[in-house]
Amino acid sequence: MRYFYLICLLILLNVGTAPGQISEPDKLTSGSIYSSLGVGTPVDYRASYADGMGLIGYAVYDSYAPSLANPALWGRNVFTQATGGVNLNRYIASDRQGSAKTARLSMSMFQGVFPLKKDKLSLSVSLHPLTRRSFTSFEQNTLPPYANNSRDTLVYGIEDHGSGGLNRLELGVGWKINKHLSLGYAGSYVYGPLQSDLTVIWSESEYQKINLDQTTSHQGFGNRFGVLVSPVSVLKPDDKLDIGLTATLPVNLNAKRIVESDKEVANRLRTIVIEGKDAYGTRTVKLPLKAGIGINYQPNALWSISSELKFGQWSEYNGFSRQQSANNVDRYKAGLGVRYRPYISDYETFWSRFKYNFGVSYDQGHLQLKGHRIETLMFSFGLGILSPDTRSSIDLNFHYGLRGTRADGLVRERIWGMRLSFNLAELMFFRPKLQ
Amino acid sequence: MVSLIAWLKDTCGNRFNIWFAAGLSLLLVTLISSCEDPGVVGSGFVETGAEVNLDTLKVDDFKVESGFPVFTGNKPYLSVGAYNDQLFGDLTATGVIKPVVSQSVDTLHPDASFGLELGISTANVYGDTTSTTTVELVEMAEPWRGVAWKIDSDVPVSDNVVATADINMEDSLVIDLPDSWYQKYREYFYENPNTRDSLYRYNFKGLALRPVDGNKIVAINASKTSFVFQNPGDTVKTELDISGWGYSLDRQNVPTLPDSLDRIYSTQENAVNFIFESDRETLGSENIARGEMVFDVDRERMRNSLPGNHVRPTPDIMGLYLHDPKDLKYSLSTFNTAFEVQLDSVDYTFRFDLTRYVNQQLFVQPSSDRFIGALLSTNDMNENDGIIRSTVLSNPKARYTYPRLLLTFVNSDIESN
Repeated sequence: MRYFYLICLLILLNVGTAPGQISEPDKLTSGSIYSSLGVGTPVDYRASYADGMGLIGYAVYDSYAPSLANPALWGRNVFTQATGGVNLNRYIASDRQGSAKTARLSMSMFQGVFPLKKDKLSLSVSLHPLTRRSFTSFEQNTLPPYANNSRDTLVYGIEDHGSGGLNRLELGVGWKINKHLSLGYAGSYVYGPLQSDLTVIWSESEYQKINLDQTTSHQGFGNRFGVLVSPVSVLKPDDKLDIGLTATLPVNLNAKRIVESDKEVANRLRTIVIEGKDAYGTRTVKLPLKAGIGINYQPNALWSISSELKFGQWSEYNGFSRQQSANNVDRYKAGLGVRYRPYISDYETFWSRFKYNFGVSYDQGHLQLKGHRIETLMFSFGLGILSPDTRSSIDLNFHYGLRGTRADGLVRERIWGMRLSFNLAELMFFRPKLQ
Repeated sequence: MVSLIAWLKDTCGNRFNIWFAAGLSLLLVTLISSCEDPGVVGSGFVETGAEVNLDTLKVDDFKVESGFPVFTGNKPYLSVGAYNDQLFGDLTATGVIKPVVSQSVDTLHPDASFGLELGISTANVYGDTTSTTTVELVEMAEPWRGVAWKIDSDVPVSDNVVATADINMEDSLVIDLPDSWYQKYREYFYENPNTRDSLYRYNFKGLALRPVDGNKIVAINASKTSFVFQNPGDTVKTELDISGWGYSLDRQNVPTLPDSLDRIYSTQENAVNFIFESDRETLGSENIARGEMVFDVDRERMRNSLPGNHVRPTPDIMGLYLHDPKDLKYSLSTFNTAFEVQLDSVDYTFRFDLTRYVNQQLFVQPSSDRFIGALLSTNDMNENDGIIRSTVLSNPKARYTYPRLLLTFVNSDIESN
């Protein structure tokens, strides 16, 4: 077991220190250019064991790894569980003007599930991202002679580096009413800053570089519900079918914005508040209703097949800037995945000690730009690696997909990524019957 | 590879798959982090909301301030002559000069020949270059000091005209001085060394260079001007430096200008006095990338007011002083300029980069000091060098060329994010 923790520690030290922080600011901090819009790109809080299936995991349950997908799943917990990990995504973006290769490394989430009553009632505490903004854009402009206060051409560039996102600090409970029905509820505090660091640089040295750091802070409270229905065998005696449903109610966030700038004044660099909170006032950012349904069919202990449909009413989204809210449309996301667990019947061979997941998902996207939906097609593959001594495990999931289009000046992104999750599962808070 | 995996598996047992995952993860992180190539994409739809804006702020609080004390004594140049300038009036510059007395010269023979050698800056002639400037060297009636000589000082001359000289466009000119004047000077030379300097300073009156004819003012280079003598038997002349010099300038019949123009002189008799509001409301933004103060010279008027063969020394440098208004009674030469700029020879403007000033006004305790804009000398001096340079600047009543602050700024209302 100590090897397991040692490896976890080594990987975390290699990656970074805390959510949203990267040790090297210019490296591995840029993600999808589409995250520049609104509150960023929505993050689906996929269960680590369902991630490789291309699914969120509304109806997929694993005894040894917790899940954020459906609060109702927590009612089934026997072990105290915790999970966390890192995401690494690489974006190869191109439009008709050029291309860019960027990468983003981030902590994915943290969740702990604590059974209050084994296989009946559990409490979940989690901190996870709801949206993420991470992009860098650059725009070059030219002001011709006499249109720029001089008789020479003035070239300037505007670099915009976006970061931050909304996070959810959630406390929930799952209750297994009977072997066929579980319910879950989670209340959450939604918060987070969205930052845009704008820098204007000039071709002429007489012009001072201008930087504007815009930070929009949000806070609000959210609620979500989950149901898990597990009917009796459907096609044969030993098969299983689970149906999961979740609903996340709209969240109204109080948002405040501040704009600051670093100015060299009197030979000192000072941070100046350019636009205080009063300049914009407090506005309401409305995150939309989201709902999902998933079906997981397990014909035997080794195999399972799942499909899901997620809906987000993004057309009702209100952002800080009303102008941008017009880009949002209702989002549908569908996925289909397969899980294979050979270790259940054979733990002797090397390759049989892994869990294997495959899947594909199609996301209509929540954005419609210049008449084009920003769709994402993603293929997923995952390996579940069991700890030799304990119930803990590592999930290593890979993705490859395409997002967007190059039509009308938009950007097509090739995305491939990796998510590494550490799942700890132990019996805790139980007094052993025999010493 | 297969045998390696088998060996590792045997060695590590079931833990090998964890090491396998960890190694694979580290390899991927390392590979990806070394492959970033940020380019430019998304400009078709990413709108930063940032815009570069231009604005022109007219400087209305503007006036020409005159009456500054102007010292013309012991400057690098000594202006002498008269010129009827169609644009700047009838100018008469009368010089004063006297030699040193305590220089290490052994002997002034009573029969020595004595004269004044003038070094003339032909590049700074002001007026008709074909004209001959005739000056009388007149004995001064009262003693004077060069360092205290002002542009408006009276020139108290006696009736004793000791010499007359014609100045054309030569580099140097030696004017012979009469023996009577030489003997007066020689008396001081042989005074008791303990009292000679003070006696000389308070009693020897020197010479005035009084223009009597011609239409040209010449700039006499003080460093190339000296009194010279030659003792009998000597083959070369010996130089005696000048110990004091200066000039007074008289302006008459100055023609009226349109009320959108003001005359400014490099002698710093006058200067523009202005200020502009530098708060955010007036400037329109706090993100000033460049603030440029522009003064326009009326080039056409300057050019058209010079007949053929007439020249006027060009004022090349303008300086801005920042001062509390109560300091304006002092000579500008006692202060340091805050900004200096060369005349833009293409569009004949003086353009000051005030970006730092504007940002300091916005973000530090704003100063209430006023700007004093004066013409400067061209020889890395922030004061009057003795050459008479003049120009015509547009004032706020000008229709297009009024004094103005050109602003380039970025709006901070980046709403679209």
